[in-house]
Amino acid sequence: MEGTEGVASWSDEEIVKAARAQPARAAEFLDVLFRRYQTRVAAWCVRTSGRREEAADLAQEVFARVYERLDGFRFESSFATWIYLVTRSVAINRSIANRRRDADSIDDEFFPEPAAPGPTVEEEVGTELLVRRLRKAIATELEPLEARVLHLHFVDGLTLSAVDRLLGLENRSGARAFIVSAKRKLRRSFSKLPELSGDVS
Amino acid sequence: MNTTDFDRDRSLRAALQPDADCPQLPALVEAALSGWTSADSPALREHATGCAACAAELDLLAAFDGTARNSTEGTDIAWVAGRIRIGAVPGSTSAAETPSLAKVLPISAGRAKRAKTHGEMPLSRRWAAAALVVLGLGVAFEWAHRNFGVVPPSLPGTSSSLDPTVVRGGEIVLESPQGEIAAETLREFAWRGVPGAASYRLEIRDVAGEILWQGSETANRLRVSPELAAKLATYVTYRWNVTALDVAGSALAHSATGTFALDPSSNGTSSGK
Repeated sequence: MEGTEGVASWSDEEIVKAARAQPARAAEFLDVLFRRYQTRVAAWCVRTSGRREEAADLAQEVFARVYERLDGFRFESSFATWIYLVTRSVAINRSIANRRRDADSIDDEFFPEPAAPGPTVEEEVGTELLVRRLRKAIATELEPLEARVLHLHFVDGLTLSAVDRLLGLENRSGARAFIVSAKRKLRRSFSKLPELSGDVS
Repeated sequence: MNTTDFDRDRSLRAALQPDADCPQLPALVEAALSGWTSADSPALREHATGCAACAAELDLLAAFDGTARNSTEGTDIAWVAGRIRIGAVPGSTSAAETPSLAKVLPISAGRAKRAKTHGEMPLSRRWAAAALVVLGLGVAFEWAHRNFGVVPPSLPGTSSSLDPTVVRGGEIVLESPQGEIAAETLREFAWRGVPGAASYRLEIRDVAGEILWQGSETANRLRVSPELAAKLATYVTYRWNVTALDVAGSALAHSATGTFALDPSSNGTSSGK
C-alpha cells in the first residue's frame, strides 16, 4: 500500500482523522484501521454466535455498519470503544430478532408459574411491582453467575450455547442448569411472600 | 407460548435491565478497554462487581479479544476473519480499483460464491437471459388472460380496480422518530393525519416483533411518557406503526412500519445502556 507505510504506527484516531482529511485516500487508511480490528471482531462474533457461518455473516454486517456509521464517530471515546459498541449493537439486535427461533431456547420455562388458574400475577399486582420484586430477588437470592447467565440469555438474547462458550461453562448442562436453578430460586422467593399485593420494596 | 407467557418473560427481562446506578455503557467499556486506568475506574469496577447487568456487559466485552482460547476456537476465528471483505478484493491489483464500500458490503459465503459465479457470465448473455424471462412471463400472462380471465394487478396507490372498503396501506406518513437518534431527543411520536380519523392507535414493537407498548391518541402526535421512555433501551432497533380509526373504531388507514434506535453516543450525554 504505497504511501501508507507509516500508518501502522499511528493511533486509531489519527487514522480516522487522516481518512477524513484526505478523502481520496480514505479507503487506504480505513483498510489499515479495519484490519486492526478484523480478528477481534471475528473472535467476538464466533464467541457470541451459534455457528461459524453465522459468525461470518455477523462480522461482515458489523464492518458494513462500521463503514456506514464512521462519520458519526466524534472522538468522544476511543475508536476501540466505538467499534465495540457498534459490534455489540449489531449482534444484539440480531440476537433479539432471532430469539424466538433459537433451537435451544428455554423461554418456554416461564416465570413465575401461576399458582392456580385465574388472574395472573401481573394482573394482581401490576407489572411494575412484579419487576421491582424480581429485581430485588435477583440481587438477593441468586449467585452472581446465575444472574449474569440470565442477563446474557434474556436481555442480550444470546443462545444457551453462546453463553456456555462466552463464560467457559463446562458443567454438564451449561447455561441451562444455571437458568433452571435461578428460576427455581426466584419462584421459591416469591412463594415466601405472604401477600402478593403487599409492598415488598 | 401465549401472550401472558411473553408478558412474564418480559417482566424478567425488565427486572434484569441496568438500573439508575449503572454507569453509561460507553464509560464502562472505555474504562475496561483502557485497562481500568482512568480516574473513575475504581468506582466503575466496584459497581460492576456487584451488578449482574454490568458484570454481564464485561463478560461480553471480554470476548472482544483476538486471542484464541483453544485450537478449535482459533480455527473458527481465522476462518471468520478470512471471510470479512475489508481489504483488496482478490484479483485486483490495487485498493483503489475497488470501491471501498463494495469491500464491506455484507455478503455471506454462499451468496459470495453465487455472486462470483454470476460474475463469470458475460454481460450480453445476462441481458439475453433477462429478455427471455420477460418474454416468457408476457406470453404466460397473455395465455392466462385469454383462457381464465386473469385481471392484471393494479399498481400500489391506484384505486380503479380496488374495493373502496379495503383499507390501503401506507396512507399515514410517519414523521418521527426515524433512524438513529439521541436518546434524550425522543420527546414524541409524530405522523401526518388522515381525513376522517377519530383517533390513532400507535404500536411499538421490539425487533422480535413483540409489542412493547401501545396506546391511542386523538391528535397526530403522542408524547413519550416516562413509563414508555423507561421501556426503551439504547442500541436496540424498535419498529412502530400507526393505524387510523374512525368513530366506530374501525381501521381507516395504516402507516408503513418505521424504525428507530436510541443512540446515547449521538451527543455523548445521554444515559442508559
